[in-house]
Amino acid sequence: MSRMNRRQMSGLLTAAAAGALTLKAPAVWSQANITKIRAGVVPVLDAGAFIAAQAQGYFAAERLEVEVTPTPGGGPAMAALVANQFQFAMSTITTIIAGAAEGVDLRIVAPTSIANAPPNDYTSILVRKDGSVRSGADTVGKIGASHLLQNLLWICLRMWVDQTGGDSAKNAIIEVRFPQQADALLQGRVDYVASIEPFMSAQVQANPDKLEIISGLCGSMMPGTVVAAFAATQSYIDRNREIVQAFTRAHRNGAEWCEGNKGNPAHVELIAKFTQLPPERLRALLAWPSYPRGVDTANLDRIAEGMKRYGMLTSVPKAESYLYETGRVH
Amino acid sequence: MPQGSVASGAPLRRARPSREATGSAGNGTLPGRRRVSGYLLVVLLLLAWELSARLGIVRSENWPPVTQALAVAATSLAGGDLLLALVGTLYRMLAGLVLGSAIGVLVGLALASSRWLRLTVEPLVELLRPLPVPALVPPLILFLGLDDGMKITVVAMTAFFPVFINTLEGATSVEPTYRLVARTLGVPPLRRMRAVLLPATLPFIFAGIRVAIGLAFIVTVVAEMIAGDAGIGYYLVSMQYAGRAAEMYAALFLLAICGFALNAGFLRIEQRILHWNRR
Repeated sequence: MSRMNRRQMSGLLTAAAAGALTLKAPAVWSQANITKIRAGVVPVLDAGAFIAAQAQGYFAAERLEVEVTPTPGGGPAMAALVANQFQFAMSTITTIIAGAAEGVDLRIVAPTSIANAPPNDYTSILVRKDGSVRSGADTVGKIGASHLLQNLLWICLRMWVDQTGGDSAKNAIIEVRFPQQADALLQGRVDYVASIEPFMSAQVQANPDKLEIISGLCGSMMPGTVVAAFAATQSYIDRNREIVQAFTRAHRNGAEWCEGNKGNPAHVELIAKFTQLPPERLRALLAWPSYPRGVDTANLDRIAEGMKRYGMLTSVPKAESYLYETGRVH
Repeated sequence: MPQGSVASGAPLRRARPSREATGSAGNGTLPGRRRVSGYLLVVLLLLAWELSARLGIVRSENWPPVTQALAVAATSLAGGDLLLALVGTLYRMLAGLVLGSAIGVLVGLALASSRWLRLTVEPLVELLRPLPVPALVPPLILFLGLDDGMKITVVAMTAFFPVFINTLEGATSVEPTYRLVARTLGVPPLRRMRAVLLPATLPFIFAGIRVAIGLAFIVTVVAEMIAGDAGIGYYLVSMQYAGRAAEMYAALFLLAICGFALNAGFLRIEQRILHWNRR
């Protein structure tokens, strides 16, 4: 989802945090009791609850007028958030945790998506059918690929290699963007990839005799792991607690709507409109993310431990420090 | 009159508005044939693309037949989405180009007229010039946000350097005799600038702008791909991640045609303004 790696993000967020102190916050104004806010949203499946909250009028019911700014990745969205360009922004969970670990005052206010345990895992490991990789033990001398290095899927890919008989520290894992992963596999440039919906179903269905899913990924390594979330800055939260609560209430209602309508025509139409994905592609998905009402600290601590294990963090920040009360399981 | 030019540090042959480049056929035969053979190569490459996709030589979701991409381009343009994205991109590109070029010309002329200023500013310019401007996009988000202000600034920074360096090069290589004669005849400084320095420097400025146009176009699209929610760059990324390869190539076709048209248009303008400088 995020298209900026962790190192770039850490530096950027730290610089942004310092710079933001000198910047004037943009106006968040109330007019006839309507509060206008601006949110940076990555147009992917994970944003389902937000999209539903907007379309079903849950934000409006909370007297919020949300200006939606689609962003190509979570990295720029977080930078814009810290610079007070957004009041809320969506990103992969590892970017938020990495920022929090660097001392940036990011707080998770609403988790957006969860990877379920197989068979409903919307992340997976994709290989060539005629290839030799079936487990981590087979990856010696092979090349793996992840959309980004040092993100959640990369961590889970390394976990999978290590837990199934391989040694990810000795393996080459390179960056290949989701849309190009099937081509890279088919041309033999890589041997196994960390995939995610909607790419994994489309790539397997387009090449049923050549590609196959051999394992779930994030939902297998860390069942129920949160994948992405909306964040706000602590300084914004301190000044606007009611707005944050209203935003997350509406988002939670959107999550409930998505869970109740997952895969239904109305749900597919909403997601297709926002992500520009063809509806037929959404109807053919093998799995959807779950849209949670909240997340517990153990879930986040588990991810942070994984980030530390694979060198993304030098110390593990306590989830209590960056998970705001509205983002918790109630 | 100086004839060489330098842009972005590398010696460049100035984009002189020759008859070949502009397609003014002169007696017609040879340039006309060259132009036809040039277009023929494009057609052959597109044909190879079409066949490779239709015959399954290249099998990929990311490699639709070229006719499919062209059909989608026509539909998308008619639908307005792609056109809107393109207009936005051109607006940002032209705004940045005009801003960066204007500053480049002014700073170039100023530095050419003052040795002290040149010695003071040149080290900074040389330090900044090698920086890949797209790498500055994420930090610039902090100060300028994700919207047009940031992108126009990035494009202006891109356009500045080739125009500035060419202007400086042109202005400093004006025949000293011309300056001396003008000074001896008592021509005031502003008039010297207008009547001697500027005409002598114009071919360099135009060469710099021509380089800047290409760079500005690329950087506008890259900036839109990195941040924001508008323009051809964002459209490209969105279509790629939505698995709509034909739409993505449609946008690329449009970019190629626009780039070609911008260059051709600028050559026409250059030819008109610098008619006295033609070979």
